[in-house]
Amino acid sequence: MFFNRLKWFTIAMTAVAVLIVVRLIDIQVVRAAEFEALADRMLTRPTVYLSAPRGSILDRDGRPLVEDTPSADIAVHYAVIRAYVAAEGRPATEYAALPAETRDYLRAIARQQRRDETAPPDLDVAAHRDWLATAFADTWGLLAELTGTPPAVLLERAERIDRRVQSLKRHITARNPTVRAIREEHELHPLVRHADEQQALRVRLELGDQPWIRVQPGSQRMNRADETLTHLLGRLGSASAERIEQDPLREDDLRGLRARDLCGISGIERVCDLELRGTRGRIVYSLDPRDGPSEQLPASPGHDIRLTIDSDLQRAAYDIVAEGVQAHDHPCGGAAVVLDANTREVLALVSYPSYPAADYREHYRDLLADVPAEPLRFRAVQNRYPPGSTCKVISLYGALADGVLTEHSEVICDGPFNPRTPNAFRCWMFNTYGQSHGPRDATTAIRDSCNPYFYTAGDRLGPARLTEWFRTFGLGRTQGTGLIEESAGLVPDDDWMRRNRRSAPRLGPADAWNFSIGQGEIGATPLQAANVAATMATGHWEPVRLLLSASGGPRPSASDAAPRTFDANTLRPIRAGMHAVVNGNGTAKVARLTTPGYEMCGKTGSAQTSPRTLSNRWTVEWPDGTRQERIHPVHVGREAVLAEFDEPRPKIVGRHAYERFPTPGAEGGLPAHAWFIGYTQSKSTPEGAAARGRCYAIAVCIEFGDSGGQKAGPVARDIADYLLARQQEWGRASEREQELQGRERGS
Amino acid sequence: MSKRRPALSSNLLAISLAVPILFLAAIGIATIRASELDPGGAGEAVAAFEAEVQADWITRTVAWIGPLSLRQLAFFATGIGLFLAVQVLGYRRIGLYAYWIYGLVIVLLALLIIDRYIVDLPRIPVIRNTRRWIDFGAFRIQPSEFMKVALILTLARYLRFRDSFRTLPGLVPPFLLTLLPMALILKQPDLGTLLMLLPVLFAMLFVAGARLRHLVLVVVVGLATLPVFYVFGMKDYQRQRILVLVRQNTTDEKWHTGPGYQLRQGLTALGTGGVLGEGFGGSTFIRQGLLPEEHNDFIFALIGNQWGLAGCLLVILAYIVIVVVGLEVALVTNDPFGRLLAVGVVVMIVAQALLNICMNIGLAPITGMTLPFVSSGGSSLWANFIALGLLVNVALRRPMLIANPPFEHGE
Repeated sequence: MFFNRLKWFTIAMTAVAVLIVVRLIDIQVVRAAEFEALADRMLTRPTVYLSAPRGSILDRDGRPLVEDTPSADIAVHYAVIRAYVAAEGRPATEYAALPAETRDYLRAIARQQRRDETAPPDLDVAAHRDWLATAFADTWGLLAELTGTPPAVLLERAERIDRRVQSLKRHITARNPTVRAIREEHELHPLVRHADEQQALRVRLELGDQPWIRVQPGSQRMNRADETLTHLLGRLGSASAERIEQDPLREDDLRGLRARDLCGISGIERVCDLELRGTRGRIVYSLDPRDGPSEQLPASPGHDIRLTIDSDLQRAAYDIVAEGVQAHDHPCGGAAVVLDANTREVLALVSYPSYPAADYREHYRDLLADVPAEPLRFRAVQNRYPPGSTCKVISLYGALADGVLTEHSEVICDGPFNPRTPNAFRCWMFNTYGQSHGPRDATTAIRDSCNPYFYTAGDRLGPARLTEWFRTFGLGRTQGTGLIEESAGLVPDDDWMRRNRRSAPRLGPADAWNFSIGQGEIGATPLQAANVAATMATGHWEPVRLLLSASGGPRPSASDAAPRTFDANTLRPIRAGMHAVVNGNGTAKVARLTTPGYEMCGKTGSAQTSPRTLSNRWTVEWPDGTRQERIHPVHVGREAVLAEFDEPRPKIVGRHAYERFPTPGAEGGLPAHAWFIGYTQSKSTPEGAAARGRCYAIAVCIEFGDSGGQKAGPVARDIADYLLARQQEWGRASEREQELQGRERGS
Repeated sequence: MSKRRPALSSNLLAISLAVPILFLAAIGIATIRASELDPGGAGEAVAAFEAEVQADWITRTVAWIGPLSLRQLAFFATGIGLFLAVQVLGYRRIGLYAYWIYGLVIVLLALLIIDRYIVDLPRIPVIRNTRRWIDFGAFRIQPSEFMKVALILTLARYLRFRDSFRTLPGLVPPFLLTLLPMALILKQPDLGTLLMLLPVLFAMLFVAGARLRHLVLVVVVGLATLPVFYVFGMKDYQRQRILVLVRQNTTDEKWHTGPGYQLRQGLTALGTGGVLGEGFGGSTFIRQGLLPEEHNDFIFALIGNQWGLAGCLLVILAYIVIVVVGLEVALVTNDPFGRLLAVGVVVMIVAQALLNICMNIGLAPITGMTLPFVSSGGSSLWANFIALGLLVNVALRRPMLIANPPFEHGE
């Protein structure tokens, strides 16, 4: 029986053993690959990416406007931070009183110092430890003194770092209970960010030999430009999911956008984001960290971008526009654009008012609420104004080119254009002085900006042909800056009218009359207007350029719109008219240049427009029919209006402009934007010929300035005078230089 | 009924026991040394030695050999000593003191409980909220490990000339003898060691000839109360151990990084070992310290990682050889006490080995349980060597009896 029982006992044991062997074969042979992969997954350490400096943005002379400058972060080892936080800012100077983590770190430092023989001599082990504890504690006072950071601020930052590390540790140990110390506990953490060079140098000198303090190099985007370029340069922001999705380089490990990366949000930073963006460095660790990184790529900075903008001119033009805006009765804002007419390089893009770049972050609400000045608007390319009389040059070119008028055809100005609508389509002369121009031909019509002449031109062309001519001169399309802020303006067609104008869903003759003098739905940006002036000066249209190559050479425009050449004969009377506007007995006699040898040709415009709404009166209604009214600034939207009401929320039943700018006067007339477009030419240019000499195209728009000739004209004149006088000064300077050199050679 | 009386030469006995035991001890010490290489595991002890300031040559040598493996070597040497010491007296003389030994260990176990409930005694450290050890300065002993040997001796002595246990009431005394230490160990608490007493009891009763239906009845009643025990008797962490077993193939990563962590790390260590293993030190996975308890309860997984399926099979083969030799000793002994002793020792060693391996490979719930002769730990090694000494003692002192072989009851 005993033997039997032993037999059964052995059989049971054998069964268990067989089960174990089968299971082992399953684990170690059948599923071996699966566990291999699992182990690799557990061992893989995340790749470390090093951020790359962004390229600089330079002006046309190569002066930096925005650049990444090296800045230093002063970092302290976590063990020392821990001791500081644990002692609430009064760290112990004895080894025994330190927290355990700090003691471990201190012993490591002590060992290192003995090995390197950098320890103070004549100290036994215990005294050396206390000496180090004192050095840890002294760090804080010195750090506060050297960087000028108050100790309270340092403590607050240290506490924040400590909280973050501890919460990270809790998070990690909850997942993996065998973890004893996390990486962050053995790292240095930045306590003083963006220290300037002097602070960094002082810290390096005073504390540089202490391994628990390190001055870590980093970079910071520095805006070196003044407020005149804020709109154009744009700003950086965290990459949104949408931006990352749209990023053409998103598959690129080193160049693609990642969450929390900084990328260009607006302006040039946005346009040239791909070029400015650097190539990040990458450290890939092998499975066994003792093997060291398996790949180590340094970061390389992005490319620099050179603008066509002349920052001196930009500054000067901004001041001139500011003066022009402030000079009139309803100061609010203005814009000016300066182009080199021959190359179509944008020399200045002025939007007034602007703001220092730092204010965007600090005073965004104030900037947003500042109506009507609207400092956030990039007026030069973003705002769509009715072009007013400035676009009469296009109406005229169309009429002459299509043959509906000839250079010498005369149209008689009686004041009102159409006897059936005596109050609607009238000459400005009649409105202002109760007089009429009488007979006008092409040149004199431009000179005097006679409305009935252009009503006639528009009437004969018809709305379809007229808008076609506007488009030919580049209206209704972007001009090639590539800026996301750039508006295409508006040249309405039947389709647009059907969608936007219920009362008359098709273009009619009255639209042609309105459009021919730049009124009605038509809208143009100051940049478009400047390009029209450049087209008149040179006889061809092409998109503008905002960027130069790195060496300062030309770079193609962001727009691929085809250039177009216009007929010189047809342009001749128009140019003659534009010459007479300033230099003859025209509407902008005040815009005559003071620079010798140069003259301005131009066209004024006083584009009537609705006053700007400053605040709205909202009417809300509850289901029981009770109503209330609320007045909110114009930027407050529907949701914000409803937010103040409790459930059940009322419905919005009405919104009306409450306060307007300018306040409508007693006479009740519409306010008008003051326009001037023009170009400079050498006085030697024959009448009606393409501009000779330095030809700068300028467009100026002073919001609610009323009179183009009186308000915008002088601004354009001052900008042109500044530019030409500077050129002549440079010319004289280089002549003198040549003379001097010649003399030197002679002697 | 067997009549066979094969001769068991002492040379053959010596070789066939020495080879597997030395193999197990050697692979154990090598693996413990390997576990000291990685930073997350016992290697921190090495770092602690290096950290000391004025390291003399002794300290450096200790650091070089590895403090844990050095301890294990020392325990191994002293274990051999205990093994030899057991040979001094005949096992039947030792059997005379069985109840005294049992009583002594019970007193030691009781001290731990007194420390917990009544008065705080010196030399009883509280480690991870358990009281399992008595501290003797240089080493700590774990009385519950010695309880296994004491229980084998006591049961063998109690059962040797009886057949009262062939009735149901007669089963009560041996069960009481087992349940008393179990109750004491339960309060340490140390579930793994506690459960190892049951197979010893059942196996000894079984081979001594207790009626099968009685044993089956006890087992069935025990199993029947298990669900009730699961719901009401177990603590949350104990229930979780069983869930770990049930849910080991879930795809829920949270489970594997939480409660299921230990088991999956063990399986991964085994799986990455493959057929022939990664060699001494194991794979990067091991050297990164990703296998907890690698020198202790999960040493089998580390062996599997270093020497693969081949190493695992050799370890199992070593235990099989011990079982075969042990049972052979039981068979050729006529003395009832010796017979039971031999069976008890075999069961004690092999049941613990099988259970430890099963928990390493996900066939049994994880409880604190060492792999005999392999895992790090002095008390376990000493207790196993004493037990082995008893086995050899039985083999070497066969009484020449004319009587019938004992326990050959007619069914």
